[in-house]
Amino acid sequence: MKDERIHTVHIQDLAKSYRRKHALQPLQLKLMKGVTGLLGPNGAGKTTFMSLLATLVKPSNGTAQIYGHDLIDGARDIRSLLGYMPQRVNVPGQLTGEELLLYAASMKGIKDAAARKQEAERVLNEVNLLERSGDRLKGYSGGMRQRIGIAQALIGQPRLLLFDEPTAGLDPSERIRFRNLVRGLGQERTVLLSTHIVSDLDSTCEYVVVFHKGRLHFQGTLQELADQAAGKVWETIVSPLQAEEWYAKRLVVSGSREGDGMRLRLIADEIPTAEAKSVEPTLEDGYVAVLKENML
Amino acid sequence: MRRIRDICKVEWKYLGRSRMWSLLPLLHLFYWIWLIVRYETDSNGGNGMRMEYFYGNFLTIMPVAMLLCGLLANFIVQRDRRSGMERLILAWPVGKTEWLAGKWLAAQSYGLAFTVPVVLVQGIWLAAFGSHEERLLDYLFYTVCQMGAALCFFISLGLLIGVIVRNRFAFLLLPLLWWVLFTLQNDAQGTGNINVLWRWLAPYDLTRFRYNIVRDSRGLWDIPWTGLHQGVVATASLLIAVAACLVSYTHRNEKRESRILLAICAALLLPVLVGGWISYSEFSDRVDRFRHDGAIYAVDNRNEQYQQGYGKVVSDFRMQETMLSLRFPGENRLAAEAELLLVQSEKEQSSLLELTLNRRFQMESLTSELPMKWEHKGDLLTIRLSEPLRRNSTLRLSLAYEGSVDSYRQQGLNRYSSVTSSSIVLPKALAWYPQLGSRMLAKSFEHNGVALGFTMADEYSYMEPGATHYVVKLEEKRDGSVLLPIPASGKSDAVYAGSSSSGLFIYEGIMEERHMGSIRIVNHPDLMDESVRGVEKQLRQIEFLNRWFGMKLKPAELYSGILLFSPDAYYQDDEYPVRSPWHILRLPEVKSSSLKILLEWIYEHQFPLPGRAPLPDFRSHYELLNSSGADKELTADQLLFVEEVEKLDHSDWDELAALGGKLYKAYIESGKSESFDPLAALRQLSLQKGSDAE
Repeated sequence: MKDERIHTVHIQDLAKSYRRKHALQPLQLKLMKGVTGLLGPNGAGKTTFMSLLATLVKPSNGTAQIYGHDLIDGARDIRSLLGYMPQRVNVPGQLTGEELLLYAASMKGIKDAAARKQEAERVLNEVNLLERSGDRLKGYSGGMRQRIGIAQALIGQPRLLLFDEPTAGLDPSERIRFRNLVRGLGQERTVLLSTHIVSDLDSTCEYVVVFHKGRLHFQGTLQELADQAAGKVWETIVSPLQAEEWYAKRLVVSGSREGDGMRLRLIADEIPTAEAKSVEPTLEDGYVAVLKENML
Repeated sequence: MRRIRDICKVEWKYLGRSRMWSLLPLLHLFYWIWLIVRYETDSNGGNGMRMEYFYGNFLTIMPVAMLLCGLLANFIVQRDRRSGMERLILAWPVGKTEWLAGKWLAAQSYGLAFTVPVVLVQGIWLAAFGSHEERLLDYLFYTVCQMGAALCFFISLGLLIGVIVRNRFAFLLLPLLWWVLFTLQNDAQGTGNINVLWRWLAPYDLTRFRYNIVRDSRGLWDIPWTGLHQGVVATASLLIAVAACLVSYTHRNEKRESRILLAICAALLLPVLVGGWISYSEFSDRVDRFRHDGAIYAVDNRNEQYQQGYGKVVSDFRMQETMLSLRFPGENRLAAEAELLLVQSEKEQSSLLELTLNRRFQMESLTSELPMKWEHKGDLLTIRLSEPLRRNSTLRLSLAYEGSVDSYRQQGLNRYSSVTSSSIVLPKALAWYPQLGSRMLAKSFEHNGVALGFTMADEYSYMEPGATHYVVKLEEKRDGSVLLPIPASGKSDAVYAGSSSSGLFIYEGIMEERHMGSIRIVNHPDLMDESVRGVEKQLRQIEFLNRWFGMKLKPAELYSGILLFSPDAYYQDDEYPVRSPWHILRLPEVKSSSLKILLEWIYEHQFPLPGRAPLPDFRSHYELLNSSGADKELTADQLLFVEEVEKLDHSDWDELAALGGKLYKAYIESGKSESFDPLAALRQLSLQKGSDAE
């Protein structure tokens, strides 16, 4: 990662183990203002990493400095500048959206009732739920609940935002709206966006970190991630029978039906067939390339 | 504090909007209202005193409320954990103590939603009906203490379990503990009630709660001790809640927070231990007193175990007069001066006089105009005259004594006798005044079904050999009404004078007195209407029995539910001036079972037994009561008797009753002979009736 801006998060040898299982291997990482994508398949350690930064769990080893506060000794200070949206929250159905946000505002230290209300309305507007603010959360759709989860994280203008799988359950229009929101937030804040949907990062992130099996496999810009697959991405048309075989044995990124055959996009160090054409790598190609040792 | 308040508010919203949780306190309230309506609309008055009824139900309902509140506290911790809200909240800058404190307070307020309505309902009910109003505040305090602390304790326990046990087993653990609590409480031997550990852990003051909570002279007793016990329980609840904060989310422990929590724990532990020890010691003393009495009055003879009711006094003397001057110098203390006039009436000459006076009295003086020696050993006061006393000679004795009078029954859980500033319970069987003959004041029997291995008979007394004229003077003005089996003399409220052949008792408590002709009816105001009905019924019974059998029964002078000795409750002859209004007069004993069953059948049609409708045909009645065989089949002789009765006209009960009366008189004329043949007598009467009709 290029070190041109001020780092807000310094991570040194941070690791987490649960008994004998290493959920997160010691890692070194620096984050700065802007949106950083956290990519990785399920079980890669993304949520553990987020939980560590959110001070929900104690690291087994290493430390981190967040805006100058130590992760262990300054946990309470870190929480006061944190906005965190966990992966799975079943928001309480008995409360209205506004009540939940007022609750969050109170817990985040906004003492004045009018200021709490103003802040709740602001974030409700941000997630496009202002009109439904008085409705009980049990009447919200899955996407709306996801948005209220995002809204509570935005309460209090936190300087560090951690979103764990925020777009799961959002419809395409809301997903676009969320990306725009995150992009705006990244102007002034440090945003860490965990996802396994690569397209979420395309238009929002400047930097990306790839985790796999508890290890940090890559950190850099989006272009640098895409470049991981440079010269290794191929497209070719094969028979359906052969396509089945390639899906099983090669790193096929995508495939589409074309005439009687199948057009496949795959990653390989060598040209797979004489007819195959080399193509420009995308972010997804780069991600697959980073993980390829573990994918076959 | 603001955060705690806001967390609490949010929890209230959760509860208020949850159908189940919000409905439970309402159901609880409606249940109480229903119970009260049921009491007030019960025309039979069979539910006893209002407070007895109230606390009888309280004992059932409160533990249920206790469990519900504990489960709620458990639930509000588990709910956030399961929904993932816990992760969200813990990422907010709120301290874990603030968070748990907010939840604890919300759960406590939920507990108040059970406690406050009960107290209000109790207060309004009693105030509206003017019942127990003298002690209304005491009762309300007692209810608040018992329920408030019990619920508080279980809420803290539920919170602690919710914090420690992070899986669904948490919801099972609390009911399990609750179940253990009740198994201990209700075990057949009552071990839990007097077990040291259990006494410390009991979430409510069980030992005074279960037994005779209202039948004591002033209703609930030793409320200050209950207050102490429940104070300890409430403090322990706080301790548990603080401990829950300490052991929760240990990775978030901050040094300062941990130190403060530890300091609070230590500060709370001290009063819990000290208060618990004081409360236990008080109870322990009581059990020791009971154990001591049990050892003194142990009866080895198994036959005696079943000899309940009354004993016979053996003495050469008869007590003509007893004058008592009584003082109560402190809690459970009695000081008395007694003037006795005795007559030696049984032998030509006698020099030995045995009196019974409780061993706990210290004799200060005993004098007489005649030279004598005396000894007070155990409960026996032995007086040896230097010169034998001839028949019909009198002896005057003057005694002064003082001692403690509290005694206990039911494994030490029930107070049998006591004196407090507002109540007196001095049964005759305590021998708080000199009584003729050598008497056993109590009987304790080995019993492997109770915790202490022995039990004491509650109702045991002696039939007096004759009437005595009593004059009892209370030297101190008492606040409440005082009841003795003799009436107050006209001269002073504090002097009671009259003759009694059943001895003396003194009772001071809440009571009402009504007069029905020359009959005094005394009872708790709640029970007065029932008492009056009972007396009216007994008067009808007396009138019927006199008419039916030619008996000469007379009504008692005093009818009361407050009878502090047993013979009057059971004994049928009308020599006794006091009687319980609820005791149904029994028929005279008849040895012939067929005649007995016939008389009972007729009597039951006149005065049906509670809860049992009289059977219309004699055969069914006979079969029901026949004890000759398990299958209740009648023998040939019995069948012949039944057939003879069935020949009679069953539509005219007066006629049947008259026939029964004649049979009884024939039986009496036979000298109550066992060879009396009721069938032959019945046939003869039937023939006689037939010839009369012709």
